[in-house]
Amino acid sequence: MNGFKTLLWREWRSAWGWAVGLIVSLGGWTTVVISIQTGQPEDRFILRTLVLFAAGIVGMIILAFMAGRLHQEMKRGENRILILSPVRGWVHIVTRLALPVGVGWAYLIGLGIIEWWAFGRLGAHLGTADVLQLALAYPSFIAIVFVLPSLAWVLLLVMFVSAFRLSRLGWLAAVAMFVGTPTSLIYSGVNTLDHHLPTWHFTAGVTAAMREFGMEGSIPVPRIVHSGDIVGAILLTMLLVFLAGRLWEEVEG
Amino acid sequence: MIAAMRNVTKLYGRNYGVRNLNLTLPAGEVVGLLGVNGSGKTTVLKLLAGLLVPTSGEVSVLGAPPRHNRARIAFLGETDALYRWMNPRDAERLMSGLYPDFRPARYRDLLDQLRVPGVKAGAMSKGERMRLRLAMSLARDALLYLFDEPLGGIDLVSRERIIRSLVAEWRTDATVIVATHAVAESEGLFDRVVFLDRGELVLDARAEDLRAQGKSVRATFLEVLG
Repeated sequence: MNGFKTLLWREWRSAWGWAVGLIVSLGGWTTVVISIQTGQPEDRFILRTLVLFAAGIVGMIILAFMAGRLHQEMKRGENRILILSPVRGWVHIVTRLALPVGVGWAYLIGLGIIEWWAFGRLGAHLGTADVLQLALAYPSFIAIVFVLPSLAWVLLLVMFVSAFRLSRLGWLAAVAMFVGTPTSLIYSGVNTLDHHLPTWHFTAGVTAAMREFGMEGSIPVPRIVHSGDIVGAILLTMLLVFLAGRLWEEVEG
Repeated sequence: MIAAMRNVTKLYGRNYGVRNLNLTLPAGEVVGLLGVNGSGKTTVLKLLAGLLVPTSGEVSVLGAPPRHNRARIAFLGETDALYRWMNPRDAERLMSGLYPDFRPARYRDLLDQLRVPGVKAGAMSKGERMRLRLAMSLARDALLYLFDEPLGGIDLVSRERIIRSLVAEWRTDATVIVATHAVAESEGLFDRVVFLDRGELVLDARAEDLRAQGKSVRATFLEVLG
């Protein structure tokens, strides 16, 4: 018996269409980026960047729906076989988080590679370090700081909505709502420790590309990113997963 | 003692699911949980499975709350709840990974006995899906088996197969509770019958005692609840 592996397999069997669809959509975004051919290189740079930003937003929405499928499963009673199993609730939640986060990460790296390629076609010459920052480090940073806690939050919300017939543990509802406030206290708490933690130059690739087109400073991109953001996102995700896991164990069906 | 319910009440809003229910379930019994629609049969099974928590009173399985003993409880719900993409092989993989007491070899035997086709659940008939779910439940080495309407909406041939499998899987160390409307067909299964009416226990009797009085379970059902 290996609950984690089995649940990861179940998630893949259930959601592979979403995952493959999202990755294949990168081809579509590439086509859109290629089709932007009019205007000065600076204009095309801005337009292409906006298209890729939109691709990131669309991807995030699709990932949220992918994680939110749990609600439909609970309504149909398909997950009863999972709820009745002795596998702990947090394992169920982590496996439901792992696939969309993994797919989201790959998708963001794909967007980073498209961005690098598109900038190259516009005549930008980035060094290896900048390319790695642009195509790998920055997308990974976004995946950890934004995608990971956002999808954990989606799962907690779905669990909360599905568990409206919550038994005896009404206090969990209050905790869940508190944690759900958009500006989490964890962030502000961790950020006060920032000056003790190292900073990173994950945005160096983006700023280098902007410099190539003489647009440095025209789009507000931070020069450095803080470790506090990463630590905060991971801690927040752990808390959200814990709460969603407890709800999983308490939900009535 | 496999399971017990002491003064259990379950409220849905202001409506009673069950009311002051007391029930003890020793090992080795096949119990028929009988009653008309809305009598509380499903609520009792879900309380024993840990899918519901009582509003008041206590439910215990092997001396602990049911949720602490999920590994020893096999529940077959009335509602069809299989992933549409899942075929019998997928079901085997899922059950083997989630339930430590699942016996794959027994499961494959049951699939043969119950004639479950090797297609996705989405392509199966209602009876085939129920037979697949029954095989998944019976292939476990649980101590408490809870079956909610295993014969509901099933054709006669499938009913026969399901009943034969239930009889063949009987074990002295386990307790089986079957909630059903199909009283006449399944009455030969029961050692004991529990009649519920509007959430309250109205009769708890041994089947052989009823027979000794010259009554069938079906006749008693009609007499008590009719």
